[in-house]
Amino acid sequence: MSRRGCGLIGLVVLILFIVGLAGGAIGRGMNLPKISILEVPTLEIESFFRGEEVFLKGSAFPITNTLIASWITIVVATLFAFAATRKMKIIPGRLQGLVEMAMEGLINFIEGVAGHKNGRRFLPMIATIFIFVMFNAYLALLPLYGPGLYVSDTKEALAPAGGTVVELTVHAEDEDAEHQELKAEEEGEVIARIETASGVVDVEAPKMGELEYHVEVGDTVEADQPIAEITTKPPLIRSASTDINMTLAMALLAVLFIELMGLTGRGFKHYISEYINVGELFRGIKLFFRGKIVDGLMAYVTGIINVIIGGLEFISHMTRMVSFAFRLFGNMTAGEILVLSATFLIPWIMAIPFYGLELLIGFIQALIFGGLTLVFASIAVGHGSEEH
Amino acid sequence: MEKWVYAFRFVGIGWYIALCIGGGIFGGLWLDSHFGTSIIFTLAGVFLGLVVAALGTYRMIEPLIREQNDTTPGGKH
Repeated sequence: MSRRGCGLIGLVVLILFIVGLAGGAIGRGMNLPKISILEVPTLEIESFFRGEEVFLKGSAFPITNTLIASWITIVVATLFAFAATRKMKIIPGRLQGLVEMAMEGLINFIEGVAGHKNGRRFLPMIATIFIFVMFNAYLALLPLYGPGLYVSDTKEALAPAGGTVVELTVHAEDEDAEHQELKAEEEGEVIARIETASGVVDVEAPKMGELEYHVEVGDTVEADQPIAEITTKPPLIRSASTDINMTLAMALLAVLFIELMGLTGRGFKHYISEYINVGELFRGIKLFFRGKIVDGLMAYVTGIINVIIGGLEFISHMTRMVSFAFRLFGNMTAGEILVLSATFLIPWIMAIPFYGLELLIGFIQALIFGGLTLVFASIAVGHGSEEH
Repeated sequence: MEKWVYAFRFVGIGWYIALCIGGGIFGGLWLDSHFGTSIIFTLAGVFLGLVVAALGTYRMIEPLIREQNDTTPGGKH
């Protein structure tokens, strides 16, 4: 690119940076002039560990925004695969070439770790995990995801008993602001007090969110009359990996896959003896009763150690599940919050480098999840059966 | 590719140690509150968690140590 082109791009970035600085939280802190077209995004995650329910709320099968995101991932990945393989040619086009390259890389990686025979058995599962995690992470960077698109969700706080309103306890943070936005900080927060015949009762917020009072101090209310309205705006779509249920389900599948491979690869007897290794213990007891006291005791001690090692093995297998689930969840949620905070501090410009970082992290997390499943599975089927 | 395998195997060690010790502590606290004792089960839990964590970690890195001994010139071949 010519020097003039570079300079022009630099200038545009600089202007965007200054405008963004004025509109963001940092600019607000520095008392820079306010620019009305820039609205500072609110930095708010209503529920941290799981997605917010957006459809069929409160039913047996609520549709959360993370569930929608995982459906989108499935559809997009399927369509992508379909588009790439619809008209396959010997000399591949661009899309087919890309997919072939990716698949070849995956196959080489898997066979390099697990050997040819086991590699081919592991391929479908590992590749699915890898592709699903990566598509999830990459699709979550689209502007459709996150707080841009939201569904409004309103709940009313009802008066528990009839009486006179004596106090409205939630006040605006900034008294001089033009728009006084009230907020209930947490579920169960006391938002008003009502004097009834039997004493003063509290009105609690049914959830956290923006608050709007329907009554004023001194008003007389009846039982079950709405006192206030609390509104939240959960995003319509939120990255599927930011829901612990999704990552835990994947971790369960991965651990089940690993154990199943160990079971089928090594046979039931070998597999179970890894956890419950009592052969040596029984041998020791047998020897002991035959009169070989020293040999029996030695075998007995080794047997006890074997049992303890079996327990250790079991614990280490079970901790994998937790580590799988929380690693992916933690990384993806942190990324989401990081991008959101960057946008909050300086809109437009600051988020761009973090988007690049998120692209890298999405790939690495997919590689780690898939790679760990692969390595554990190939350990489970046993080192001896590998051929290189 | 072998290095990959070792790298991946050690990714989970931190979790393993943390969960063992944390599990010991919380299990001990729960037992203490259940039986009304003050600290004895918590201490036992911490100790047990530490022992399990140390033994398990040693077992995980054992193959690497063995391999290194095999490949160093002084080691057995």
